[in-house]
Amino acid sequence: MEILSSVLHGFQIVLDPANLFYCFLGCLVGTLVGVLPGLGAPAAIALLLPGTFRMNPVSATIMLAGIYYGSMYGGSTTSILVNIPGETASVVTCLDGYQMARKGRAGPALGMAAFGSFIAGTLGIFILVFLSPPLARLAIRFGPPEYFSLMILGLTILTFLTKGPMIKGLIVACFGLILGSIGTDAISGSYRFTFNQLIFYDGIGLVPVTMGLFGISEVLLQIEEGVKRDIFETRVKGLLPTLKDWMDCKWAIIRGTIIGFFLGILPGGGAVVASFTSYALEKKFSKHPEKFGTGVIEGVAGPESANNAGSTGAFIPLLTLGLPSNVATAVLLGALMIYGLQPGPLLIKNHPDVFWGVISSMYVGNVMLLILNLPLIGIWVKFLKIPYAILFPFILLFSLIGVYSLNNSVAEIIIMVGCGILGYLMKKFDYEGAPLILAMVLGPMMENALRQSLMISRGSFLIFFGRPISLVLFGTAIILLLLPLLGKFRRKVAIAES
Amino acid sequence: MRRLDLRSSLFWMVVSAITIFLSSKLPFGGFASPGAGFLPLLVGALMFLLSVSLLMQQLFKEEEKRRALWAKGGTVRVILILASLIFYGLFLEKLGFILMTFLLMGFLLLAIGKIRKPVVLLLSLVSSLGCYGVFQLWLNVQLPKGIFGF
Repeated sequence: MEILSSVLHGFQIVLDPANLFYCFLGCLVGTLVGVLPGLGAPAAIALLLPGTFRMNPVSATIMLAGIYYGSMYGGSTTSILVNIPGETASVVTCLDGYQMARKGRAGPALGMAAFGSFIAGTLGIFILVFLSPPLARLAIRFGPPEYFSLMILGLTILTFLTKGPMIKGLIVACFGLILGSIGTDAISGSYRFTFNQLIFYDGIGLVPVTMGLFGISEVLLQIEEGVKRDIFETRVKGLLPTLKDWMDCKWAIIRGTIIGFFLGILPGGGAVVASFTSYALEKKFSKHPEKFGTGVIEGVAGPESANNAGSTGAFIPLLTLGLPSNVATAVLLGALMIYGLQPGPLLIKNHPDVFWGVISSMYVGNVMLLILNLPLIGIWVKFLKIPYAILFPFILLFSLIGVYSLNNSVAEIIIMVGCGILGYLMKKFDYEGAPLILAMVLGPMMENALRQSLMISRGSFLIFFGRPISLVLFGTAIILLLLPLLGKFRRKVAIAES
Repeated sequence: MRRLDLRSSLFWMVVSAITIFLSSKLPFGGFASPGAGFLPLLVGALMFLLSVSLLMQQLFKEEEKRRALWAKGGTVRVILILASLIFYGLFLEKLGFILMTFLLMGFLLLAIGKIRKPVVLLLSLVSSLGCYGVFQLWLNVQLPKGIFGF
C-alpha cells in the first residue's frame, strides 16, 4: 500500500503541466539523439545540463532521465533503416533489423522495436518500483568498505566488458581516477594537481570531459573518414506487426526484459551488454538459429527490449546507492549533485518528490515514446537525410555553448577540445572512453570510502574481506580480474600439451 | 595493432610517471590515516605497472598487418576543426558570441562542409542569431558580448 501511495504521489508530480512538458521534451530530445549517429545520451545530457540550472530539480531530473531512456528508442531507427546504430546499445539491432528493411519489412521491424521497447520499459519500471525501496533499506547498512568494494566491482565489470584487452580498460580507468583526484582534497582541504590555476580548484568538470570524449571526438572521426550515409530507400509502411510476428517475439520480449533489467542493475553493465546478451540468448533458444542475421524479427525484439529494460534497471544503483552503472547515469549523478541532491539510500526519504516523480515520469515517458516513435517515424527518417556536412557544425556549436555556459569560462572550452583530441586518439588506438568517465565520477567517492575504511581499520586492508557484503563484492572483482589471466594460462597449457 | 599498443603504452608510462612525481610532493600520510597523496600515488604506480605490462606483452608479440592510422586528406580537416574550436575559445570573450559564432559556422560549413555560399551565409546568420535568442534572451544564459557590445 505504501508503494502504491508513493507511486500515486509520483503521478501527481509528473502530471503537473510543466513536468509533463519537460518529460515530453526529454523524450523528444532523447529520440532525436538516438536517431542521429554521433551524439549519444551522455553528451546530450551534458549538453542540456547548463540550461536546467534555473529549473526545479524535479522537472530537470525528469527531463534528463527522459533523454537517457528516450535515446534507447531512437537508436533502433537508424539501425534498421541505415544500418548505422544511433546508440551503442542498438548495434546488435542492425544485424536483423536492416536485413528486414531490405526485404521490405522495415515497418514491422520498427514497430516491433517500439512495442518491445515499450513493454520492456514499462515492465522494467514495475520491477524498479518494487525493488528500489528494499534495496535502499539494504543500502543503509552499507559502510565505507562496502561502498569501496562495490565501486571497485563496478569499474572491474566495465573494464572486463570493454572491447579489446582488459589491461587497456584498466589503464584508462586509472587515468580517470587521476583526473577525478584533481582539485581540492575533500578530507584535508589541500590542493592536488591544480598548478595554481583557479579553474582546477573545484576539479575538472564532468561535462567538458564527457562532451570532448564522446561528442567532439566522434565528430572528428566522422569528418576524417568522410561518412556518407545511404538511406535505404523504402517506404516505411505497415508499422503494426502481424499476429505471427507477435507470436514469434513474445518470449524474446519477456526474456529480453528480464535479462536487460538485471544486467542494467549491475554496476558497469547497462543497456549495451543487455542487448548483446539478449541476442545471443535468442539465437540459442531459436528453432532456426541459422536464420539469425538474415532478417529475423526476434533478433530485433529481444535486444531492443533488453536495452530499454537495461536503461530502466540502471536507475536502481543510481537512485538507491548513489552509484552510476554507465556513462549516461554518471552524468545524471553529476546533474543530481549540482541540483543539491545526494542520490543514495536516503534519497527516497529526503527527496520523495524527486524519487517517485522520476519513476512515475518513466511510465508517462514510455507512452510518449511509443507515440513519438510510431506515427512520427517519417519525421525521424527525414532527420537522417540532413547531410552530415550541415549537421556537424551544429553539434559542435551546441557543445561549445553548453560547455561555456556551465561557468562562463573559456577554459572549459579548451578542456573540452583537449578531451576531444584525447578521445579521438583513444578511438584510433582502440581504447574506450567509458571506464575513464566512470572512474572519474567514482574517483572522489572511492577515495573517501577507501580512506575512511582504512581509518576505521587502523590501516588494515583486511577490512574489505572481513565484512560479508564487502567480501562478496571484492571477491567477485578479483575473480573478474583474474579471469583473462586464467584464460591465457589454459591456452598455454593446451598449446604445450598439443 | 602491436605498433600502436607499443606507442600508447609508452604514452601511459609517461603519464603515470608524471602522476607519481607530482603525487610524491603531496602528503602521503600513513595506512591508518591516508593523506591527499595516498590514492594518486597508488593509482599512478598501478597505472605504471599496467603500462609496463602492456609494453612487455607487445614486445613479445609478432608483428601484425599494418593498418593506416590516419585517413588520407581527413587529417587536414580534423586539424582545421580543432584549430577553429580553439580560435573560437580564445576570441569568444573579446569579439562576442554573435560575431564569433557567425565566423565559426561560416568556416565550418564552407571550408569543411563544402556547402554553397548563400546557404552558408543563411545558416551562419540563423544559427548565431537563433542561438543568441534561445540561450541569452530565453534561457538567460550569459553569453559574452565582446568589444562590439553584441
